[in-house]
Amino acid sequence: MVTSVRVDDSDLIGESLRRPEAFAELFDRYAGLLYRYTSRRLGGENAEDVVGETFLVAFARRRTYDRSYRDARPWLFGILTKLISRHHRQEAARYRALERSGPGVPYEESPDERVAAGVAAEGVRAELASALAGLNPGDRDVLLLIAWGDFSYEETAQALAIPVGTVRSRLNRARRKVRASLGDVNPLDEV
Amino acid sequence: MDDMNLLREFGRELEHEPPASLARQRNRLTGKARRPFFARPGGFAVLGAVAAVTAAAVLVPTVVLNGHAGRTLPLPPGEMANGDDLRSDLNVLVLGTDSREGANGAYGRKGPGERSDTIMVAHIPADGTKVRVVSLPRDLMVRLPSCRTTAGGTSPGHTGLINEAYTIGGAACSKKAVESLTGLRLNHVVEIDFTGLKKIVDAVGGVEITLPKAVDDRGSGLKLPAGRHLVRGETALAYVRARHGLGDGSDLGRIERQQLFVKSLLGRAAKVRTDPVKMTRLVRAFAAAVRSDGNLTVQRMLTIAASVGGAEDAAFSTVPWAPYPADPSRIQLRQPQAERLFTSLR
Repeated sequence: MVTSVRVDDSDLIGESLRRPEAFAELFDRYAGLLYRYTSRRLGGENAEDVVGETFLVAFARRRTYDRSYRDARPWLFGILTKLISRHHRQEAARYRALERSGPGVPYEESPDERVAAGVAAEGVRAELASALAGLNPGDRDVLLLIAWGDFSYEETAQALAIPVGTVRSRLNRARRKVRASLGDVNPLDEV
Repeated sequence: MDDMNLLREFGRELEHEPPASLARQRNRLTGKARRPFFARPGGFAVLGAVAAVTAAAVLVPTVVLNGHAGRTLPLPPGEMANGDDLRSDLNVLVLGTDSREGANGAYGRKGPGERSDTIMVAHIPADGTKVRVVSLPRDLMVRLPSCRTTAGGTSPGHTGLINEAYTIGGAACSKKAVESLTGLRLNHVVEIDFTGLKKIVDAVGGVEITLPKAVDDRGSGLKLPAGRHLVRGETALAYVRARHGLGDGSDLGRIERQQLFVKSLLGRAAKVRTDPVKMTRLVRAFAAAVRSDGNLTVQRMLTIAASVGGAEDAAFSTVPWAPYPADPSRIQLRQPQAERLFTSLR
């Protein structure tokens, strides 16, 4: 892909202190990314508002952004995660609904995508949904930032403002539960 | 297949593409960016009319500020506003700190070791009744909770002075310590330092104090004859900070003096209220003088201001205390009185 010289997120945030409109560029960069992630956890209807609010909160806090971090994604996802956590009951209810819909039953509108992407997971959807519903919120945040947000341990730690050791222990706990729920369907070797 | 890969696939199944309407959220942002609160006509009129003047020194900072004009405290993102109206009582932690950053460097040594010299909980009842302000002396020995340190590590829980919490982990740790001490949920945190206080005092045109005898305190630089004085700027600061040459030299004496000072400040603010030009200046000064958590949106602060509109006065007190047996220069909570007080604020 051809790209022009890209300004670091941290410089954009710095510039937004002087010229608030510069912050909108950050929205253009990441709103789609945040939306996709949020839609996985809360569904499409809620995602829009949550993403909008994330940027409002980020804008209000831009002065406290540590500009030694050039990539603002962990920061934005940290705010996003906290906003999603306000809906944690809704989130769990969503997974439980997916769990009930059972294997093979269509539960989301985009069948094409499902066919393309979801073949392997198809047989264990209910189990995965059930495992996600049963995780405690802090463990779920870590697991999904890593699995769905593609963040490293360090970035996850930065996003949630917790030590990397805590990220590891939460991830391990969450994965144990996921594997346990998969256990009878799809036995896995210990990793 | 690996559990993480299964989970990734499952995630892709659940994903929605961003709709075109997402752009509306961008407008929310740019709308906010282009139209700061202070530039909005009428913003002050609303605030001036409904804000409880009486509680100005504690509440106006609480009520007025957010990142738009003041600075925002680096509280963890979990501390975000939850309610949109004042359905329940509100507790606001007010921290007076000796932060050495920036202009404050003039008031003492630089570097780490910031302390919270003044710790107050302002209780704002949802029904508009009297605001109560409880001071927690900094010499109070408490069980400090485990906190994230400013350096990024974790500090284990231990017994120590309450103002140590701020040194360990800043406002977030102070909040945690006061919450665990009092059992109160603190909805907001407002932090003010010496430079900020000076700005506020100057914005109201000075604060009146009464000295029972002449003071010459080298520690704080306060030197004044006995009697009533209208103090501002550095002198006002020195009065608030001084431990020696005034009263019995204890922190408790200092608290009493600070509370009198705040009352006097409230009185001055009350006079300013009727003058829109001065009110504007005062609000701006508050905005620039304190740091607050990111929760205090404009909407939120107007909600708070509206709910305290009927308050006539604020009641000040110090938490009931007793000497700390192991070290007579320190104190601890006096039970059951302290618990009774906290219960009444819940």
